[in-house]
Amino acid sequence: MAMPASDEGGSPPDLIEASDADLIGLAAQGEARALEVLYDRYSGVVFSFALRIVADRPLAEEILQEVFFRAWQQGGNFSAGRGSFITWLLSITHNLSIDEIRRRRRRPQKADSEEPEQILAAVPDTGAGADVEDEVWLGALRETIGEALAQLPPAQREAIEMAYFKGMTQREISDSLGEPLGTIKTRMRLGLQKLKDALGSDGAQLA
Amino acid sequence: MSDTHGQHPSRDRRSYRIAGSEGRTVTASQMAMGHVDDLVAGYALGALEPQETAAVDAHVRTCPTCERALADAQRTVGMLPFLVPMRKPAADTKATLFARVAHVERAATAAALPRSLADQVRTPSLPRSAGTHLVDAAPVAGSSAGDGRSRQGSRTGWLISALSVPMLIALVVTGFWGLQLREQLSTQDAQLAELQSEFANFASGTTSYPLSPGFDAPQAEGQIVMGANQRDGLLQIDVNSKDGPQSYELLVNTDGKLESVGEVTVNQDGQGQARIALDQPFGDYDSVHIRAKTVDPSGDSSQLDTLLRDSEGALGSTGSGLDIGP
Repeated sequence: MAMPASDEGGSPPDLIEASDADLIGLAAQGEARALEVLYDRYSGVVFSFALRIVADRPLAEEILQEVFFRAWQQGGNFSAGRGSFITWLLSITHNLSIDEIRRRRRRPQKADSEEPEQILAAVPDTGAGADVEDEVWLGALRETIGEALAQLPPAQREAIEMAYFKGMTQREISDSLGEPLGTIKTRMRLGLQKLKDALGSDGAQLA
Repeated sequence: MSDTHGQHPSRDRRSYRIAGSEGRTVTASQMAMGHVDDLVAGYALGALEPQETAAVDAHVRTCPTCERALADAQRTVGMLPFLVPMRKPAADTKATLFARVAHVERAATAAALPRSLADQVRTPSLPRSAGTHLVDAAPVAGSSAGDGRSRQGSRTGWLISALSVPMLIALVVTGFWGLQLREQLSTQDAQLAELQSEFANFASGTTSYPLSPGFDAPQAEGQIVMGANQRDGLLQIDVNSKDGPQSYELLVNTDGKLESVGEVTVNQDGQGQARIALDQPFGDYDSVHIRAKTVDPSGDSSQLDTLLRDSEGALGSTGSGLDIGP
C-alpha cells in the first residue's frame, strides 16, 4: 500500500511521486528529502498510533521522531518483498510504544492518569491542511476495520485490544480479568481469525 | 516482533499446549514436531512471554504451515493501527527530527575528516554565549524516549538545535574555511619563523635572487637568499609537483665549468630548502643551475661530467642574463 502523497513539505515533484520502497532506499543512501516525503506521508498515522498506545502527546512525538530516525538509519534493511513500508514502519512504532508503556508500568503511576482514548480525543483532529485524498482513504479504511472489530464478541475484542494497544501479555490479561490463560489464548485466536475473515482483501492490500 | 524478545529457544524447558491437544503439554523441543496454532495470535499481537516467542521463532523456521499462519495473523494485526483516528503531530516535531538527522550527518562527515581537523569541527571554538548550548543539545544516536524530565530537556534541546540549523551550518562552513585559512597562515608563520631563524646569522644586507623556471620544469620556482657576505645563503625551491621526495643539486658556473656546491631535498609537496656555503662571493659566478640529482642503477649519484654533457632535467637557472651579483 502507498497512501496518496501530500505535499506539505514542499518536496521535489519527482520524489513526491516516488514509491515508498524507492524513497526509503534513497533515504538510506543519505537523501534527506526522500525521508521528508515519507514523513509527510506517514507521520500522521505513526503519531496517532503511538499516541493511542502511550497516551502522552510529547512522548508520542518523541516516538514519532525515533521511528523515522530508525527508518532512516535502518532503511537498508527494509525489503519490499516482505511487506509494505507502512507495515514495517508501524511495527517499529508498535515495538517502541509498547516498550515505553511496559517501562512506565514498572514505575509508579499518577493517580489521575487518563485513558488513551481521552488523550486522543483531546488532540485536535488533522483537520484543514491535510490531504483530502488521504483523509478519505484513511477514513474508509478506519471504518472498515472498525466494523470488522465491532462484529467480534466483546470478550474477544477486549483481549485483542488489551494485548495490542496496552502491551499486556496473555498471562497479564488472564490475571487482570481473572480468566484462565487458555481462555485468553482462545479468545485471541478466534478473534483474530474472525477479523482476518472480515477484512479479507483489505489486509492483503496493506501487506 | 522477535527483536524485542530475543531469547534463544534451545535451552527452553517450558511447556506449551498445542492446539487440538487439550490437557497435553509439550516442551519447546517437542513443539518442533507439532504446530503452534495456539501461540500464533499471541505472537502477532506481541502478547507472548519471551520464552514462548522464542519457541515460535524456532518452530516457524522449520514449519511452512505455521509460518504461513503467522504471516496471515501479522497481516491482520498490521491493520489495527489504522483503526486510530488521525491526529497531526506538532510542526516542530518534523524540524526536530531533521535537525537530528542533519546533526548525525555532520558528525559522520566530521568523522571522515583528518583527526585534528575533525576535532576542531566537532568542538568549534565559538563564544559560549553563541554556540555552547547548541553543542550541549547534541543528541545521542539511537536513544529512545526516556523519563519526563530528560525527555523535556531533550525536546527543548532539539528545538533549539532545529531552529539553529541554518546558523550552525553557516558557522560550520565558515568555520571550516577559517580553519583552512588558519592552517595556511600557521604554515606560513612557521616558515617565516624558520626563515627568520635562518637569516639571523646574516644580519642585515641579505639579497634575494629569484630562480627562473627552466624548460623541463616550467612550473618550478625558487630563490637563493644570500647573506651580507655573499658566501652564506639559503636555497629554497618549490617544484610544484607531488612526485615525492627528490634530491636536487645546486651547480655554479664559472667559465663554463659547473661545480656542485649544495644539495636540497624536496618533500612530498615538492618544497625544500637548504643552506649553502660558497667558496667565492655569489656575484663572482656566471650563473647557477639546479638539477635533479639522478641516481644510476648501482645506486651511485651521477657524475658531474655527465651533467655537463647533458643539460636535460634542468630545474631552473638564474641564467647568464640575470643580475646575480652586486
